[in-house]
Amino acid sequence: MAVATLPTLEIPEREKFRWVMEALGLDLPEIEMALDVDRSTLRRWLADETDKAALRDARFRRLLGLTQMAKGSIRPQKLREWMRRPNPRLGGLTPARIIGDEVGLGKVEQALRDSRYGNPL
Amino acid sequence: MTALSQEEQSIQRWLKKAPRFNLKGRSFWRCIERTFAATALESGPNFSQPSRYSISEEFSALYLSESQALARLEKTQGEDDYEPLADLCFRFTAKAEVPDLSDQKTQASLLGTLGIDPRDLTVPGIDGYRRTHPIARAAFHSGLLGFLAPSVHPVRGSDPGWRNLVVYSANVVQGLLDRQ
Repeated sequence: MAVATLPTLEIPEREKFRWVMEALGLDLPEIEMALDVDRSTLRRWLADETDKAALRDARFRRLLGLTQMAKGSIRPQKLREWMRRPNPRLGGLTPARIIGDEVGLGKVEQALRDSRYGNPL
Repeated sequence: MTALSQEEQSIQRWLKKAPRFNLKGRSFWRCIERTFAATALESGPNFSQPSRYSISEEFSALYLSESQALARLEKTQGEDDYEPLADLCFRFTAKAEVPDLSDQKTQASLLGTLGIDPRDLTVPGIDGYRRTHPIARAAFHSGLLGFLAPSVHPVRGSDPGWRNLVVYSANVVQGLLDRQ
């Protein structure tokens, strides 16, 4: 699944784990940090097209939720950039770098909501 | 209703005396995705999570801006990330008086009377909300329909209308209804 071809932020039926990485533009070390799971687990999740184990993980479900907060607001191909750009709503912090922390993930969710509703900075 | 803190009660007393700005005849803007345009006057989404002048699970706020440019900037932060946007303009057709927290004299009074530095209103981002929330709680629980507030974004040269309007929809409705 090439990123440039992501036409929407609709969650696919299969390969959700792979899709989240691509939608948010996260590489393996970053998603490892975001989910706080080891590399071998990540590889198992990547190989499982049904995402059974990944979907049992609460933090993974929150990452899926992030994509849905952006859906309809941020263009699919721009979400990756949004994740990698210092964000004024986050005091200049970069979303992709703080989602591994509970507080950070909460703030990224908040920043996405604020963006979606056009709340003032 | 959660009891107001002493600080919030002081702000309430101050708000009662603060000069009012009549919105009648004035226009305000909101920038939102075209597909969501029908929801432009909904404040509901801000009830579940806090925003600059609303508190989650307590009360929500609707945000408008005095100019098209500011509304767009508040939405996009100057980035081209969004689905097609609509710039919607709304005009007040009835008398509606609100305090103007962007007014210099009012800000001087805020500092002199309450010790609140007006710069606290324009601390950017989510971390700035804790500084604006006492004002929000005091204003909402005073029954104000809202207030004008300065934008975090610096005023651009000669751009007119660089204020945001915070509207407490619940208080607007409250003004039309009598609780039985």
